[in-house]
Amino acid sequence: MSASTKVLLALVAVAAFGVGWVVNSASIESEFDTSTMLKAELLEVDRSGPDSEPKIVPVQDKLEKLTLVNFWASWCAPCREEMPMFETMYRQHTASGFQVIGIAIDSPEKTRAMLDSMDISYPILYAEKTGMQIMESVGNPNGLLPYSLVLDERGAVLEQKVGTVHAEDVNAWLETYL
Amino acid sequence: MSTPIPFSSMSVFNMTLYKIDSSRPSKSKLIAISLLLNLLLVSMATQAQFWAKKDRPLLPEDEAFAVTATVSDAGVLSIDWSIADDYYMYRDQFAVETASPDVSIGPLSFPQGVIEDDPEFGSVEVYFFNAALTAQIGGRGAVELLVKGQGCNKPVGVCYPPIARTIAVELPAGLTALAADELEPSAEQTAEVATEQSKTFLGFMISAFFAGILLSFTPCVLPMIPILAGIIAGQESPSRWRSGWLAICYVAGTVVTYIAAGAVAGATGAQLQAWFQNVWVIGAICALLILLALSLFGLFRLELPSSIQTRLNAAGSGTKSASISSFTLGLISALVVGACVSPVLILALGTAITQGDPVLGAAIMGSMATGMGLLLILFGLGAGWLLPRAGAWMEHVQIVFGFMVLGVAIYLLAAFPAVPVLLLWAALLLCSGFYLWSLATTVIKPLASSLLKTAAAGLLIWGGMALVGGASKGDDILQPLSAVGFAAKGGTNEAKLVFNKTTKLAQVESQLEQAKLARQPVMLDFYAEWCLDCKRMHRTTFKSASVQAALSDWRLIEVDVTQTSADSEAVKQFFDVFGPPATLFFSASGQEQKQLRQYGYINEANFLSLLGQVKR
Repeated sequence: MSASTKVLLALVAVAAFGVGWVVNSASIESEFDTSTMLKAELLEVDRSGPDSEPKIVPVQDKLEKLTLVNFWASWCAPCREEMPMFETMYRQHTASGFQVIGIAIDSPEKTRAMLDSMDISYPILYAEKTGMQIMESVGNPNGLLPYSLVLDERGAVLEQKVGTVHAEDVNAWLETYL
Repeated sequence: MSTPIPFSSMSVFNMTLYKIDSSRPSKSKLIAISLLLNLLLVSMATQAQFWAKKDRPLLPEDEAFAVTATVSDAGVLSIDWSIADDYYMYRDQFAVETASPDVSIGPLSFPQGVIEDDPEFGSVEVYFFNAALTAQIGGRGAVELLVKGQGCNKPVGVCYPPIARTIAVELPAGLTALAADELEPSAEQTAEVATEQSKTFLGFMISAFFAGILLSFTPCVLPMIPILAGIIAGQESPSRWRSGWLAICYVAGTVVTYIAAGAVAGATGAQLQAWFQNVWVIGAICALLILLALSLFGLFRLELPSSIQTRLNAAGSGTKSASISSFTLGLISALVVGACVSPVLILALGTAITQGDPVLGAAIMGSMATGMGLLLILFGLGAGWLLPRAGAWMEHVQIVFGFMVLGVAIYLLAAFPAVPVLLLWAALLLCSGFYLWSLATTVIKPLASSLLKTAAAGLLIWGGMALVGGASKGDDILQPLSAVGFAAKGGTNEAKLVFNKTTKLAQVESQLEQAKLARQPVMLDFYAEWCLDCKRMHRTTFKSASVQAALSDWRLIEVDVTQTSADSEAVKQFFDVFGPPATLFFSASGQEQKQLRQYGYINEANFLSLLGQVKR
């Protein structure tokens, strides 16, 4: 095999992988129309003060440069395991535009004690039962939890993950996108 | 071209390698193209698989967690969960329920599970592979069970939403309903919750007591004072303690009635308020009220039948008879007051029903009745030295109270559309107006006389307006001329609110979903044919033009719970409502504004202010 053939082969391989990547990521993106989720108006309870008023906010108002949206519920043990890690990451990188939004398929009453014990400071929005429909619209029809999405500043999906997110995952995302 | 471009990736590699080895440079371009195309295909296929894999290893919910239920001839219900490899289920989330009232299911017994450490909740017990649960079951026939559970996939660290599956089982013949002790959870479980319950138990009693005190200042309870005064005045120069004792007997009577009602409500979960708002019961109570009013007007004295009185007198001292007739009047008056204060009663009974505890039900109702009776007991203690001096004016007070009792009767009768309510009000107002006027002319003190005359004139004018309104088919005593005004303005312009009526939870949910999509606020109300206040709201509040205008862009959902069924119970349970009348408000974004939730009648002004508070 001549040298030029080797180079040609290598180039072909790289090009093929590239084309495959683009085709696939395009098809992934087209699956998710995040507008339902972004426009959803959810209850936000400010847990910093004892008597602050709950308010209704659309999810898109919470977007930053890079946003991790994490769906969770109090009955989901893996969700509880990953949330303190999100909190650590959030505190470290919030200054450079990293946001975490926890969307609870749950009620404020049921989750209050749990959130307080974890000292979560990133925004938590309450979707209760409508959370299942929101998840369905962003690629999680079975309502599995935890479910996480990484969004860019316009709300387009960069990454998705069903199941526990690990610190390495978040670090990789921060490195790639931020 | 001797080499066709193959599409199967395996053969491509063999072929191309062979071609390369054969080292024929003239064909290198062709090779490159075929390589490119094939690598592209392979690359796409593997990447597609890679992406698809993210979802594929997770099984659908019913494959990950399968469940069967069987009942043995001995009445043991077995629920077998088969759990796929890598999946597990939580012990705490297992449950089995049934909607049929004739079937009772004992507490579940669990096999030994695996202890998993949860960073937040400490250790939790979980099951891998399978979980065989058993419980005692009693009843007969075909039964639908609602089997609940919740589980997760261990390696991926992902949980499935709580599962609720309906399974039909056939109960073998000869099973009897479970005895009460079989339904109780085991002793250790009970001990855990006992301390917490005693706290809320006391809390319920205290709040019921204060609710009772507040109620004693309503026109529903005040007419009871002259009844009691009548009993006390019937005694020959009673001592303060004697009249206090009679008041206590009277209040004890009301307390006993309410305790019985609370215990029945707690034990059966039956909608007792339905009884308080049943046509015949209201009819009977109104008849009783009219009798009461007539006795207050001095036509006769309310007493036990003389045959019973003489027997009591023969059996013992005469004083006993007064105590017992006071107690009996208390028993009956409780029903009258109950019909009058039904919204509050519904709240108290509803708490008893949701707690499902007869002792708590009895305690709540007993405390409320005691609270209501406090004023009466104080009155009794005071009456001992107040009444002898009261003399003549007490008679007039009794007559005024008699008019009030008739007013309560008319208020209750307003439940029936056939009753010309406004005409009855007109008659009552005019009679009491004339009475006060004639009374005013006999009073010597000029100030008292003119005060009475003003009041009488007010009543006469109000009565006259009610008469005019009644003649033109109005029905709101607070706005007697509203029907007249309408006729003048727009003829037969009867604007009506459009309610989406339903009895099923699924329909309510889809209505709410639609409203949310349309960003419409929602008013959801619970209605029943036997619900007095629901009908009153439809006749008054919902007829008001300003309410109709304010609700014009709202979605209105009405849940009809006239018939108690699995459907109606499901809706009530879902919204945590114990019965009508209940009015719930949802913001345009579909959130229930729980702080605005109302039980009982809401008048126009309050209703409009509630609407104003709902977030858009």
